[in-house]
Amino acid sequence: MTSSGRVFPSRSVTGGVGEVRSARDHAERAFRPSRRAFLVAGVVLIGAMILGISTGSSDIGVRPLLIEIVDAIPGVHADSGLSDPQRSIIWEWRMPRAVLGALVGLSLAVSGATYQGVFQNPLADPFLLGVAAGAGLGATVAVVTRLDVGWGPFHAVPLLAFFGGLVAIACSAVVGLGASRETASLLLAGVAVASFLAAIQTFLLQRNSDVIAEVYQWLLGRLGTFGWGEVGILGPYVAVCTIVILRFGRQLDVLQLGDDEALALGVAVPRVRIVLIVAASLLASVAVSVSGLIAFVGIIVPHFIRLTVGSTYRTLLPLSAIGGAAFLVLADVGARNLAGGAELPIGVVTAFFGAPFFVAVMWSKKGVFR
Amino acid sequence: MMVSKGPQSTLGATRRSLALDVVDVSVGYSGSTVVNGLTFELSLGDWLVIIGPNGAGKTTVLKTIVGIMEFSGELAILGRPQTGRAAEARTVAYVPQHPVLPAGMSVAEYVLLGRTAHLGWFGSESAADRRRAADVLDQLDLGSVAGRPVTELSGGEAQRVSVARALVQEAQILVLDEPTSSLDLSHAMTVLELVDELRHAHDLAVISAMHDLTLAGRFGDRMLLLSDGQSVATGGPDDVLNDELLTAHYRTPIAVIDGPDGCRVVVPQRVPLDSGPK
Repeated sequence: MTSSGRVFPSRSVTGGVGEVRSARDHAERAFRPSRRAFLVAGVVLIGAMILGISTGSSDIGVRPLLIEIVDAIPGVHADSGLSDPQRSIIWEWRMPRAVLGALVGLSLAVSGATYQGVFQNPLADPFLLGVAAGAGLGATVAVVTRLDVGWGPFHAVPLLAFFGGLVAIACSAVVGLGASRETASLLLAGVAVASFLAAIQTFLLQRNSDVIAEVYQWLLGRLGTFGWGEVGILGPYVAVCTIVILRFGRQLDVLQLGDDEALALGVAVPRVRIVLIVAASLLASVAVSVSGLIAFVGIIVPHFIRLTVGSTYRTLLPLSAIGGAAFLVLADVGARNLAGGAELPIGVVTAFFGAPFFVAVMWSKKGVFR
Repeated sequence: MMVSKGPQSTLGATRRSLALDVVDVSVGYSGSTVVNGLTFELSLGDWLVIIGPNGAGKTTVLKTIVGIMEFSGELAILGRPQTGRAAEARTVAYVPQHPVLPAGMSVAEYVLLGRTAHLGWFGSESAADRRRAADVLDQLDLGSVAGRPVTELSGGEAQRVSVARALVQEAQILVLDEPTSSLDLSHAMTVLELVDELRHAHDLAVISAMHDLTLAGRFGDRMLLLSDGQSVATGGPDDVLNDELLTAHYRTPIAVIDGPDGCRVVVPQRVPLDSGPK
């Protein structure tokens, strides 16, 4: 799919246009994702960010917004003609919200794609594997125990969320893969683990009714009440984990050959699996600790890219990062504007579009159960 | 009956270096022993065929040589004990009996995965790696399918593609598990002749498991008959392919007759099911 999806003219040795390509041409383009796909994804992301920042209760024109951004470049001065309250809305509210949405979307999509590769399970996702529930429980524990220690990225909330996410994925993997290698087995284990952890969380909240409202709002998924502080918490985790995961893209492709062949090709399979699971869980958990439960991003985005561009992990991972970021920023625009004045929780929007897409993936010809 | 080359083969007459030195290797799964006290050696440029009935441990022996099985005993590859996974993959290439062909991967991409152990930290291929893959694809007459998804290949093409992936590993030792199991005679001959040609051209050591005993005898210059995890005969095809040995270990009457250009033809005898012992 990757190679036939290329639209750029090849330096074909046969010289003709649309002629049969040589082995060399195919080897040249192998694992080189289409530049057009990156271009499209990048344009969609930038467009989504601009849309996210300019729309809202007080609309700001795209042109003054762009001028305002250019003005922020050191050494460049441009007058956007915006009032101080408008500038404050841009810089203090909408910009961090859009950036945070992009980081959360990236994290969820990349961790979903990584789980799918590591477990060779096309429906693996931080939510279906129980990681989000584990992270949610961890963060809830931090909230109800008023564990307000640590600083920035090393605050108790993201760290406990990570711990909860790791415990959850470990349980799902041991229970699911211990039962059978079937696709459904791991997912069923994930569902069981998620319900169990959610039950503990509900119990904790019942005992601490003073924080129910706060936690419940967070559970539904939100980006709204945050500023640059949350970007500072999530940013370092996203940077480190994404680099690690992209660096192992090739190993993820090799893992698709099965353990024996991957080992024979020189990949230290157990170590690579653990590194990738930890990195994917850290990404998803910290994203959940900041934004709450935003479901289906980890399934929708990688599968959309598989269907449209290609499915080798070296293509899938970077495009999932960009696509996930764009998708969540757009979902947030929807959350703020679909229901008139009232803002919907963003998790409601992603689930509204994600659940039907999930069904479509199950039913499609390339689906899991065919 | 036991014809062993013995240690003297490394002295004097043959100056070729040792690819594999297997000494008293045993392999077990969860308590039961699958391979028991196996000892043999293989020189560069030689082709050793492992034969034996189902469940004799052929695949286990091959996987042990590839380095993906726990074992006891000594196993030296090119004179050294096994080291890290990547170093191993640069020395030993493996074609499993049923290679996994992942959806969404092109033939060129699949073959390039063979370069994994040669790449640096970020795992991206250099122009030289891509050239190497292209050369092997052309060599195996796979140029025309290089852009196709691996899932759309015919059985013969798939088998050649997995051999191509092993060849770009540029390993000195080639391990093939039933390389012709899913091929008709003409495709089987193409793959085996190709391996033979490469072995001579690059002085590779080839070790393969094969069920077709006549084909095994035509290509292997050494054979090892494995039965219940133990080596029961080693030597040239003329030594190992004989009526009594095969009949005893395959537990069905087998005749070996002389074929064209001195090869051994293995013919199973018919035994009606109701005439045999209850």
